[in-house]
Amino acid sequence: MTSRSERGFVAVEWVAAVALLLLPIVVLVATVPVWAERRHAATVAAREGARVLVRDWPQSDPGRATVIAREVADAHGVESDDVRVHVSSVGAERGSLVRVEVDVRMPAISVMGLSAGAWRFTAVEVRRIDDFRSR
Amino acid sequence: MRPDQRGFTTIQYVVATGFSLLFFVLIANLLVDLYARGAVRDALDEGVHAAVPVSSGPADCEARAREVVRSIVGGSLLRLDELRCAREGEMLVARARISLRSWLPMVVPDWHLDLRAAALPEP
Repeated sequence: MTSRSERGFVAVEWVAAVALLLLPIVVLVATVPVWAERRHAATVAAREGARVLVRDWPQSDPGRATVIAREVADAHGVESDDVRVHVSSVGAERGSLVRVEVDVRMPAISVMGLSAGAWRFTAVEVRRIDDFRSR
Repeated sequence: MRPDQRGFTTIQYVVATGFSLLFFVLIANLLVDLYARGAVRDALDEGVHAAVPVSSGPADCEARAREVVRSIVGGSLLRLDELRCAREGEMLVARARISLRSWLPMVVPDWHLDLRAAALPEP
């Protein structure tokens, strides 16, 4: 026998349970692709930064590589404030390595433009200056 | 069961289930749209890199980008409203305007996006 105060009890409880189950799914669906996109943006930005350094060698300019890497990250939808570019090696001589690190902020939760918490991902690109490269 | 409770739970259950399924469809739609957005970004990236060599140009960029879009997000899911590549300063920039079709147009409208990729061509 059901009492008057329990009318609709099952349905309300069921809706609340579904909402609680759906909430994490919505957060996951909205957030995980953002991580993948930002990771890809960091990788491409680091690649472009390193490519510019190799291209311009021996007049490589870390500042220019930084600008290019930021531009590429921006084109992928990553705000400038969320990107750090570090050129740790410009390739001093033939056969040496160029190294660019692009660090991107990853929102821990990102739903409908709202974000909370963050972690960082660093993409590293290393390229070798050709052994027979002309100056 | 009292007379005023006849069928009560069933109707609520059906309505709640219907809304839940609708919501699931919207989530799936969002997931697919995010995939398509990433795919077009990749296509633009491929396009600008096709135009990096000295002997290539914006036409190669556009052709390559269109080819990639066709191969990974073909069909009626995505409408490519505009795709063009051009030199902007020293950079080669590919821009695309896309429309991602809503699965439930009466609930959620199409998603229109402007995407961009850039690369520095060889001198």
